[in-house]
Amino acid sequence: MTPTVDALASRRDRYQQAAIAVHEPVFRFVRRRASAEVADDVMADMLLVLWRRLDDVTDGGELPYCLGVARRCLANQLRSGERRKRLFGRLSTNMPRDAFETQPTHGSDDYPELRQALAKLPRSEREVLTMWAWDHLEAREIAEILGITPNAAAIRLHRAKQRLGDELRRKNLLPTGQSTSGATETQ
Amino acid sequence: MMDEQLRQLLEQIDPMPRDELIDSLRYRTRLENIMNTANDTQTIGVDTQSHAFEAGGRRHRTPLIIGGIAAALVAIAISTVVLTRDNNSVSTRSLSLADTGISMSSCLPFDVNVLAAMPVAFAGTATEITQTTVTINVDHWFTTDTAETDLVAIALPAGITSAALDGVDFVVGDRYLVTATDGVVNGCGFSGPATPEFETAFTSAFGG
Repeated sequence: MTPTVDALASRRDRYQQAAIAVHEPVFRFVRRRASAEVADDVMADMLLVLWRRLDDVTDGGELPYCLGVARRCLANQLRSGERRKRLFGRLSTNMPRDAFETQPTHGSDDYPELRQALAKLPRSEREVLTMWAWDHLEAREIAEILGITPNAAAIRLHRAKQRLGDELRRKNLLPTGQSTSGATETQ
Repeated sequence: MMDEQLRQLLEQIDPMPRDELIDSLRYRTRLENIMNTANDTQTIGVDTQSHAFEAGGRRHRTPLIIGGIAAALVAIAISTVVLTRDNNSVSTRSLSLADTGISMSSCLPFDVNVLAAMPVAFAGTATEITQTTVTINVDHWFTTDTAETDLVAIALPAGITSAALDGVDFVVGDRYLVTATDGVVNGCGFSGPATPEFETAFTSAFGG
């Protein structure tokens, strides 16, 4: 029942290595979707969950696991922000409405047409598309984070690319005569 | 080719571009604190006489901690405790999952003495998860402030579609150790999956 000293040391080493490895991608993931203050809290929550659930995380699966945890913690943080807003009528100015919004925190005046086209996508498609484009996640990783099948993630991503591609071609931001790749190419 | 162009376009509006440096000092400090505290946490099964711990090994004033937790939980959620018994004599207690909005970074460190003061503590298996409720089939009541029931129905906060404790989803078939105060399930590490270490902590706190 009681872990041995060696087992504890080994667990501690694994935790430290995993925490350091996921820091940058998870922080960037969260920071893309929330203020620095919220991101800081989410990272702290993620570290604690990783420690408590480390034994459930497969070797090599640390990053998608931590991204999934961070996404849920972020959703909780932002929901509580909304609740405070309802209660007190004020809120941090750069806090997105929820974890799936993708409101950039800086440089928001650049590329207005591209931003508009992205904003027109359904939220679920916008989320997978930004995960792919900004966080460089593949469909199978996105699936793990969202808790859906890899096939569903690939299809959703494919649709999102197609929809955004069509819109950007209409705006002459992409050359006409080409279409986005098939879903399988994203895996 | 089109994928490449699309990604390049979207990267132009990336709010956190890859060439933007990030500060890791605070993160590393937190990491060290967790590992220092966690080392103590892992010794629960070894030294049940020395339960109080936190980063750096300083002891708590338990009444203050209990008061803090109770005050926070009372302040953040409205609870409902309902006992029902249907025709098949399966009794159900209703608890709610706190939509706390409280970051775990603001949680108090786990402490068996705090755990021992919880008015409701039980072990059971998640048998059903809907969009509004998680049902736990209770196999053991460590302590309760009302009658023991066969099931506990944990209501999710309005607007939440996934049931999670401390950011980790409930899973049907998994066994959990749960505490509650004022009808609200406690997070912050005081409820969670029934790992051997957590079982030991509950046994230490409530005497089995």
